[in-house]
Amino acid sequence: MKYSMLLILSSLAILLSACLPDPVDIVIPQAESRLVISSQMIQDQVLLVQVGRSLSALDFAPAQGEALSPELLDQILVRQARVVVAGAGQTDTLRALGAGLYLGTGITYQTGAAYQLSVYDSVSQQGVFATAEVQPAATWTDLGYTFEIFDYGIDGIDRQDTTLVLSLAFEDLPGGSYYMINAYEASLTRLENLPDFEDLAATLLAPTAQRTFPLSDALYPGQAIIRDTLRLEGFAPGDTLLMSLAQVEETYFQYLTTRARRAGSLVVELLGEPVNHPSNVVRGYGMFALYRPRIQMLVLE
Amino acid sequence: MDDMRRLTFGESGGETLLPLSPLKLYMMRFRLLMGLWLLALPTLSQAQQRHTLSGYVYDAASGEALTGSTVRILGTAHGTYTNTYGFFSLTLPEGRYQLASSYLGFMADTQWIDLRQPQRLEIRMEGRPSVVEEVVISAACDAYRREVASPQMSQIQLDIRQVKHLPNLGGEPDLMKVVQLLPGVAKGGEGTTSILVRGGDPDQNLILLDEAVVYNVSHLFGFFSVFNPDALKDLTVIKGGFPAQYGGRLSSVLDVTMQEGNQRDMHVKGGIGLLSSRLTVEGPIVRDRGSFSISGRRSYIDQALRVAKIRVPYYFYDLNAKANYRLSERDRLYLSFYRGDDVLYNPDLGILTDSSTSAEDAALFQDIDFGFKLGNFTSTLRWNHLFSDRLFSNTSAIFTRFDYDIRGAFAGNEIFVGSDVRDLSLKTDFGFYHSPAHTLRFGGQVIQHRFRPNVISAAGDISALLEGRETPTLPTLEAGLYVQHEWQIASPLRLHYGVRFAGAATPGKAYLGPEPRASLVYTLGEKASLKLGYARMQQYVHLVSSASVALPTDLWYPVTETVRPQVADQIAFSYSQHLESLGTLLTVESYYKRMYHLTEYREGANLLFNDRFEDELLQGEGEAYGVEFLLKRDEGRFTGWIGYTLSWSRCWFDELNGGAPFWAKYDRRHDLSLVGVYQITDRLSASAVYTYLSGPRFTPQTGQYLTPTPGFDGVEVVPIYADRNAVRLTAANRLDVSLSFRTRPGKRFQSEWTAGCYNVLNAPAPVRVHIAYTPEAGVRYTQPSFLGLVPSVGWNFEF
Repeated sequence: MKYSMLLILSSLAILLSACLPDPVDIVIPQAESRLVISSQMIQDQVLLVQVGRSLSALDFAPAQGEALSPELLDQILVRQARVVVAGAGQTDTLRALGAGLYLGTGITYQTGAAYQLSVYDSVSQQGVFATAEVQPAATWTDLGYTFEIFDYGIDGIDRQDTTLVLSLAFEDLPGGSYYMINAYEASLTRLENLPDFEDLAATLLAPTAQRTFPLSDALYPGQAIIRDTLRLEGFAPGDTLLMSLAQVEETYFQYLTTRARRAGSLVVELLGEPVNHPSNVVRGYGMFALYRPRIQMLVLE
Repeated sequence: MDDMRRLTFGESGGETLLPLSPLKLYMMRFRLLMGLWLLALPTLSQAQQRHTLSGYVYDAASGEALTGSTVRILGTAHGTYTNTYGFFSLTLPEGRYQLASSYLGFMADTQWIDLRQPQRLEIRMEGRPSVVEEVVISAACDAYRREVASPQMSQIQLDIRQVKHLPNLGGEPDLMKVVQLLPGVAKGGEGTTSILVRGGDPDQNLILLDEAVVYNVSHLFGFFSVFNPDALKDLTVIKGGFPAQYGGRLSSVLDVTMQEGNQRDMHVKGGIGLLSSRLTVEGPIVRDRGSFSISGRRSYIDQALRVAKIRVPYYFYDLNAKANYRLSERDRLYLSFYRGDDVLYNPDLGILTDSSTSAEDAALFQDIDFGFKLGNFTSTLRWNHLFSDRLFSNTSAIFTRFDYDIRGAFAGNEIFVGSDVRDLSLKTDFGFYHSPAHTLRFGGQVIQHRFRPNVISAAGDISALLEGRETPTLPTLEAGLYVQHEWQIASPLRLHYGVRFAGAATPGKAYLGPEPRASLVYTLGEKASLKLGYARMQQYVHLVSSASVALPTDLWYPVTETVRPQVADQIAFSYSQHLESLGTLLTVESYYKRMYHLTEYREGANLLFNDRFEDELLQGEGEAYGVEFLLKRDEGRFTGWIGYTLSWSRCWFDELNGGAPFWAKYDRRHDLSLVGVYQITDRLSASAVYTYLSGPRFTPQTGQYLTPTPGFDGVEVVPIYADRNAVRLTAANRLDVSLSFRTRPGKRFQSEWTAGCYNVLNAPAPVRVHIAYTPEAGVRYTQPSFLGLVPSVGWNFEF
């Protein structure tokens, strides 16, 4: 038995030191570069459109909080595109602000009307278009909060976790409706710094997926007023919170839910099947959406 | 090869199985059909006086029944083979016949029978010593002739002794890894025991151990199977053309039987490998009347490494026990149990810390207590009864359980996650051997499933954050009745046809549907045949698992009001040729399988701590087709097989991949296996296995773009992925070898040393995809190997 044990142990030693072949590289065909669209409506007359370009997976690997190099920004941002919005009998050619941002102020957008966005980039000679319908504004009817404090200790060291519990209510608009709720910490809000576009485009911020909540009224059947609670980490008494509410189209809602699913769980990130974000941009990526956010401020005490 | 093994007659169930009017209608039709058959069969007999020659075939040394041994009348076309319990029956005209029995590894037995009245025989076959010189290979010839002439398709019987002699990882013989070498059967990941048959998913395989379903067949996260080869007797794999007695899964049946135990003498056998050791004790309860067998296996790497002061708090074990007793000439009882668990207890998470870890976090790691236990338990009570020399029955009561418990504790908090599935089943099978031209099998089964998919509970302060919940228990009743007629239409033409009426009732919804089965053989002389088969299968349970990885903690979930049963239709066509001069059998088989209501999970679905599986579930369709080649040699100095599969498998779901069809993850185009065992002397043998396997598919990131966050308060990177499963991973090829040296035959104490080498070419054997993010080079994918060259040694003994 003693000899058997010795034999087993020596065999184990051989096994553990056995050689391991080098990893095999996988050659991946790369996606072609396409135009990327995103949009933001401010009030009923201002439309901001960002036009960018997609990269191959081999071009760079982003890291959170990292500043992008000017070369990479040049590769990504489309600064000289022709961007036109047309709908409800009106046409507006947007003007370039720099950093791939285009501003349109020539149209008063009508709720329920469909508008087509056309973008042509003369450098890459690529053109894309997308259509979106202007969504009615949704408004908060109630917004309150409490803090939940969770005390625990490890090896005699006291620790504390604080969770902000928001109770919210808003009127459900007629028909099957989809909503987007955003929570901003005022100090991080870029709305106050819109002119600093280059800075906005150049820095990758911490993902805010946990603070964007897509919501469908299908989950609240028969309720004229939708009431629910949200739990947010990372807020403390003294912070200022901006809560934004907007009704969105179903396609944009699907985009938001896909994003939330991907970013909402480390398990999904690690184990889930990869999933592409939906897009309503023909021959391109991103989303053209026309919605009216309504913002309410909360000073947390 | 084994198309007459489960001889069944069904009177169980009745209208009370499912309280449904369609069921009553089916039952009435079933009874009418049965009555017509029974009335018609006697008229098919010839006027000449006929008598039944029946009996059992046993291993003379151990007294164990020999399953699938050939019994034939020399000089005629009459013949049959024994069922799972060693029983055979032949009804012949009065006369004098020379009866020959053969079985692989045994001396052929021949005797003259004067058949003037019904006769019952007990044929005891002597084992043949190891091959020293090439001998006349009669048993294999008989088996191949029978295989050529049988309409049963897509079926392979594996010799457990051969499994033990093939090279293996770490000196651990593994049944499932040998099954993976068969054509039409692909493995999941490298080194794992999961099998994918003809484009099906791992949960579409009906894996039976003494008729009990084994829900989880793996130990050590899939690297070893739960089957201890010392405890097993037979394994039959059916990949299509399913006989009517099998139901409940779409892709395959793996029917494993445990050994019964030596009826004559006490025997002890065992083995010591690098990872585990095994011990089996078997012997008579009453000589030639009853026997028992008890086998145990335990991994001991936790104990062995303790010597080197390395703490690996993990082990697995298996315990198999079986007893049988002959109550009378007509009755026999079998009782079998299996229990196996994987256990992780209190690992040292301090190893996860390093010099950069803060003292506070290091204390946290030290304070965590984590562990899990998961495993199967099965038990089967069987009663064989011989109503007459032509009517054999088996009735079984079966209990199966698979459960897992995961527990974690830190700083006065505890979390518990558990799940279990329990089946209680009653099954009866009858076989009526009317004549060599007509055999009728029928029977039924009812299974009471009880699924408890997810239980989460928490104690301590953490219970304020993690809400305890328990998914409601899901009771499901599954039932099936079947009948199959095996009919020799003319000398070259034999037909097996039948139907299985199966269904499942779940709260608020019942599913019921016929599953027709048929297979036809046209023989081209004694040595070649053409076969055609069709089978419909339905599946009422499925596995809830992530699409990317297989975990032993995957959950089983039944059909519900919204989740419909999976259905498959399969047609197959084959050509068999017995190459007598080479002592081999060649089979070429092509198939097409169409699958409906396949289950997949919504993209981005989170299944952990989720009790709303139905919300994440999608159903779609799939198809698989291909051609399989098998050239095998089962007896002689050199044995083994060459298997090759060329196959395609794809599916389509409205909500996946934009609704476009996509290739299945394990759509492996080429699968080649060369398996050989060479008996150098009566004490020394060498074996080798070479495999080449196309890589599985995956979905890589091919691009990316930056876009403002929905709140326009920052910028985020959105990855662009290829179409689902668009890229094929690297193919793998591997050569394993082993050498066995045993003590001189004839001694009471027999032992055998086995030395082997896994992946002797040290070829890459990719096991997973590694993603590296580098600022300059972007997203890079590589495939690390599971293992390189790994030597092993093992020692087996028997006395």
